[in-house]
Amino acid sequence: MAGTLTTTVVDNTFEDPGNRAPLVLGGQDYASLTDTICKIPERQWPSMAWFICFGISSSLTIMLFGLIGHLIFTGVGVWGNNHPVFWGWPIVNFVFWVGIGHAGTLISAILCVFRQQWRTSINRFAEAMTIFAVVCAGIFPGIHVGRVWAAYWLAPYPSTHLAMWPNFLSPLLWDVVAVSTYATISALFWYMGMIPDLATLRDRAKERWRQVVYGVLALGWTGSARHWSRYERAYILLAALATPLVLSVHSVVSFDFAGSQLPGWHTTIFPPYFVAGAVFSGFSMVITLLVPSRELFGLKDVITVRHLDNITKFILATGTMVGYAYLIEFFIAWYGGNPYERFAFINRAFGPYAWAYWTMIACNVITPQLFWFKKFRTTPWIMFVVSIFANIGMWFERFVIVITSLSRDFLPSSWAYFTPTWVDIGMFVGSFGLFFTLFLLFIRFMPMVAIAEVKAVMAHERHKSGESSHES
Amino acid sequence: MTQAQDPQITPQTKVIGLLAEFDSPDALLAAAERVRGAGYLKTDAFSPFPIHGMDEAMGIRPTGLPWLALLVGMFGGLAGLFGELWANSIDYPIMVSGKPFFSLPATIPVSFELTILGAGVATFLGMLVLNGLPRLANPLFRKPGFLRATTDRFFLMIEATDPKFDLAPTRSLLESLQPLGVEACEADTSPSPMPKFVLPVLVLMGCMALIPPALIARARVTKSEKPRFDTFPDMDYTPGYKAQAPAPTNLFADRRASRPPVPGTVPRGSLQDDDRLYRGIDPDQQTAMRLSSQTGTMLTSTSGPAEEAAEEEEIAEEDAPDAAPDPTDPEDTADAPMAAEDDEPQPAWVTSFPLPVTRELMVRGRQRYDIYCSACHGLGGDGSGLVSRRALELEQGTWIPPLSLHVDSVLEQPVGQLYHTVTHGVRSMPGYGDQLIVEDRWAIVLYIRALQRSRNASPADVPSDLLETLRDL
Repeated sequence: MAGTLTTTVVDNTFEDPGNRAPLVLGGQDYASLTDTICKIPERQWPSMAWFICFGISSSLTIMLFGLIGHLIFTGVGVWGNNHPVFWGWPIVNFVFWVGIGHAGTLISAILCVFRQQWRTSINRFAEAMTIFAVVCAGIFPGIHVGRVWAAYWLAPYPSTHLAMWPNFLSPLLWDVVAVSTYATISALFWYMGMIPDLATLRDRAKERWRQVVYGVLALGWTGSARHWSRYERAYILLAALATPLVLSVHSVVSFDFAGSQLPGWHTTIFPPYFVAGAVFSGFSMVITLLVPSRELFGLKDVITVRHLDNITKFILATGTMVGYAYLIEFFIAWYGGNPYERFAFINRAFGPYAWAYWTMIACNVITPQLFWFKKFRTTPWIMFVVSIFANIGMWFERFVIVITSLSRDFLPSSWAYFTPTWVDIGMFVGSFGLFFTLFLLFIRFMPMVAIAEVKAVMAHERHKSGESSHES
Repeated sequence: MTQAQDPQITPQTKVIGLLAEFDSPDALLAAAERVRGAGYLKTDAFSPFPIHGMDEAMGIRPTGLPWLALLVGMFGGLAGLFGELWANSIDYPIMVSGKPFFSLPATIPVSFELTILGAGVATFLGMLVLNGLPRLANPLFRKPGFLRATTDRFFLMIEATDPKFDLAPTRSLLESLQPLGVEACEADTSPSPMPKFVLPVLVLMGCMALIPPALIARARVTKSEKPRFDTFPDMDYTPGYKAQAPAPTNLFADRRASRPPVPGTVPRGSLQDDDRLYRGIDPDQQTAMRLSSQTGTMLTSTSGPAEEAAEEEEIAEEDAPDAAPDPTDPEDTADAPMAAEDDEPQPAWVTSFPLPVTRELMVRGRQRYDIYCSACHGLGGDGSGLVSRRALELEQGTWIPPLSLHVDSVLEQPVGQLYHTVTHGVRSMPGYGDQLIVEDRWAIVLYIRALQRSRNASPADVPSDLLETLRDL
């Protein structure tokens, strides 16, 4: 089984109409594929690299929760948020993480609806990333309300205490509903996709605790054809439901801004612009995580260069869309003739935050243009570097939108330069700690590739090529 | 059942089906088609991944899951729509910038999200329920070979409940499909391992879970005399303390409920550093007096800005005329029956007005005098106001008539002392400092001076062009 692994490099990035490039390389069969993926969580002890990463990320997570405690017991004054910038880093971080959380469901849902089979190698991975990013995102508005213990007032429940309801005309409430719906559906989608693979892990398990834990999580899945029939229907239904959901979530997040009157926020381009940016940042984060992971865990046959090539094409397309949106924003600021709007945009590019603006342009618009060249699309370390730039750029995009617009409001006497505090910075770094902690736990205990789905793709390829039994 | 023919089967076990193992999806698909062609209906196939065409091969009918998703999704959307209508338009209408209470476009995001949420959750749970999951115990799991069904093996099972099922012929049919092997699958005869305490505990937990909703439901329909229990009282009940009452020590270390001003600070509007204007005292002369009194025998009746401290004293003391140059003046003693011998020194009252004397100030003073002073002192200052006349008519014997403003003791008083009297009162006269601003008090003093002058005027006081008209009177 595992002994048949070959390491010959096969170029599957060619485009040959009528001759489909293979999506799984290395002469893998069903058993060897299962073994390749399952041996990662089945390892008795994870590698030293894992422990080092986990040590760092869990320390940062503890720091995050310590800082949250500090915030709750002291008050929101520990942040740099002050007039006129009342939405500081917490909201920047929220939008940043929610944006990253868009790639997973986009890959699982939209690419599933369009029957893009290459998604099967990366969808589990990206969905997990989505959920962990949404967890990180959810923390920030939660603590941003100041009195965390009253955050349940956001929920529409028949309250005798307040004797009133939330205002459903407010985009902020739409945001609560949209993000929590997205988190729920993404988690369901992720878990449902994992059930057959958890059953695989259950059936391979030797230790009792693994049998029990994976057994309970797999819900007694047997792989019955009658179950598969409903399961597949449910999967495509969830994908179809999640497709508009993905597009709606960041649209609703953008309403938080677009629904206000602030110059620089009050623009109709925000929903599509935000969605394109979210997909861009999400795919960049996928690359950031995927390139080292496939290297470390020997998944190069499953997550091939062709997969990376496809992702970088998404990054190129959405990065260019984002650049187009930046351009159109400026055009409308001039063409619309609103002096406040015009000032807001000139101030963005040439004002005190020009450094942030040009960082954003350089990282989001210029760097991804490298992916026009196939050399860059097929060299993992280059795309890793570019994806880091894209992550930085997308954080700065939210920073530019939130901070520059607020710091120059309608009352010039209250104009101020925003400065973050050490708590702001610590929480942002800590949120990365939480993200990577969850992610490392995921790759330690869960199947990080959708084994059943990849097998179905393999079977499809075999069927096409006329093979009916194991090759090699 | 012909169990005895199968050597693997002991008579105690019950066969629930026959399981054939294959090594590829295509073989399984072909086998499924053959088995169905042979008339078997209660069959199932097991594979590590969904096999294209298996539904048709086995005759699996399309699931009703989409209808469930549609129904629950619509329910979610309508619940969102009507929930928003109820909450923001009927139960607690929120007026926002004159917008309509119910605006359909504004309900779209929440209704949409709830549609997706309802349909998505229904899809997931519906899939599990229709599949009979979770089902953690399954006799198939007892077959060691079956565990590869989730890795790389493909199984076809014909259940014993199928009308056509007969062990030997069914087995030979399966074996004719070139499987890797055929096995009988027995029912699970092991005793139920569920401990006895599980059921009562579950029932108990279920009952206890009903307690909170029951309490909430009861609280919503009953009235209570007791104040509401606040988990987080926040600032609903702020402790308030009397200004001079002691406060808990955890409030301020000195246990005072109110804070003294920070040393070296003056409240806004309380600086009042112009003694001539605010106190009617000439600070330069006051200093000179104090210097001379330090060498002499005089006591410290007042001292500059700290004059307030001396006020009580001063009220008790009384209207000994300015600086008391001659305390033996008979007029003085008559006018101040309650005053002590009173050789107490007077402060250095100002003798000229500290603010410009204008016609407007005089008019203002007359108006204020008529409002505040004339009720007792009379419009002319004779001490014959309405209040005084009425009090004398009552003959109660307790009324002390107000002083005429035209007696010598008042005439001799410097304007500073008159201002002081207006501000703080004298004897039974209350002070008007709380009711009249500083400028108005000086305006009244000015008007009193005018009234006094009118009783003692000489023709020289009248402008020469008006002198003629006066004569006509």
